Amino acid sequence: MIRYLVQAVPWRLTIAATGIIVGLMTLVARWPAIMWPLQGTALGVIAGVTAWASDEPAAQVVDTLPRPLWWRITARAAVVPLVLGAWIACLLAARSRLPDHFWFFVLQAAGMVGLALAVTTWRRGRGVAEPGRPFAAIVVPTATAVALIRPFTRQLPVFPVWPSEDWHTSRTVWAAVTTGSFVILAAALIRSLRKA
Amino acid sequence: MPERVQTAALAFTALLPFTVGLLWVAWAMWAQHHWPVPDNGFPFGPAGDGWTFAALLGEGGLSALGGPLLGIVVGRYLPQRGTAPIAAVLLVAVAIVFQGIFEPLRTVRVIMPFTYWGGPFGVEGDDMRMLLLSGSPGWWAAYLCCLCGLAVVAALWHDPASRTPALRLVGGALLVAAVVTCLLAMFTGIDHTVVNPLPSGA
Repeated sequence: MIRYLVQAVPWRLTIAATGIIVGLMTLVARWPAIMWPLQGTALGVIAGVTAWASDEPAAQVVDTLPRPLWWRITARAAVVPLVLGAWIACLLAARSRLPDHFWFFVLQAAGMVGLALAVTTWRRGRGVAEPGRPFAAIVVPTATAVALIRPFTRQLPVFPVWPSEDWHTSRTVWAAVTTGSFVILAAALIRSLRKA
Repeated sequence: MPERVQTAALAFTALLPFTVGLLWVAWAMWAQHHWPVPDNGFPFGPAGDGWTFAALLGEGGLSALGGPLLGIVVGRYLPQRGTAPIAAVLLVAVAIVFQGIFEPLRTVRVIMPFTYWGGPFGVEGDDMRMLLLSGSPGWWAAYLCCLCGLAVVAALWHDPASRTPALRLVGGALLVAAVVTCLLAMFTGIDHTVVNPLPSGA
């Protein structure tokens, strides 16, 4: 698995994305009130790079080999600890400068990772070779736009920052996204196990 | 099909978002007259219709043209996978830094292809007070036109066959014009940050 992992995962892109996450969160930590939209952008990058790493450019060949989809998805998910680790390290390093909702921010990242894995694994199981690139092309600008525009911020605060915002509702939404994503991911993996 | 023809065709497709951007500017100008801004709102004071139109044209119409053209340049010179979303994220981060909130960067912020010309930036004791930022949005819009032209020239330049003396001349002229208009955008127009005299809650 390690040899596949080393050769199949787009490491340069992953490392570049990890650096961008750290850079964005450094700006957020330096000027939280002004730079907060970049927190949403960083979450979009987390989802984007996770999805991108799930792509199988040589799927027409690889899908005929004995290794099942779940095995390859598991190997490619090696990017998850890296980007999540970078995210958590940024949160810990800037803890005193960010709103006191550490576990909520971890939940947001887990939700983004879960969403990316669920969508790409489901589509890979349906025979799509590279579902990660279009997903990344949608999720990064969408997260950025939502973080900048902050639509329906009273009813549905996606990226809350101020103490007056409805953190409880946001936490519920992100918990639902995370749970739903991992349920879909589990269903997609079970489906691939049965096919194998 | 030569690369320069493909590049030119791609550049023409940017006219679609540009048209949408212009429609938005037209709607925004109409909306501003239909629903007048309150006295403590933005724009105010020295910002007349021409000032507002130029700011909206730069922030809306020309951004919608320049964004796709910049995308073509990035695609031509950095065709590696992943460059486009990374470039978009970096551009957003830099645009936020240069949006005018940071006082020391207010004069030089017009170097960016997107920036603000005012808004609820706040003052001490009233963090939603409307401000009008310095500079000339008219010259900034002209600078953005030069940047759009430079983007087309840069994208065409990637194809060695298109590196003709005429393209070099056009590129050089646009570069000089971009520097001049950028300096004019910085140092003409409103010469300091203007604070709306009425508090935000009035």
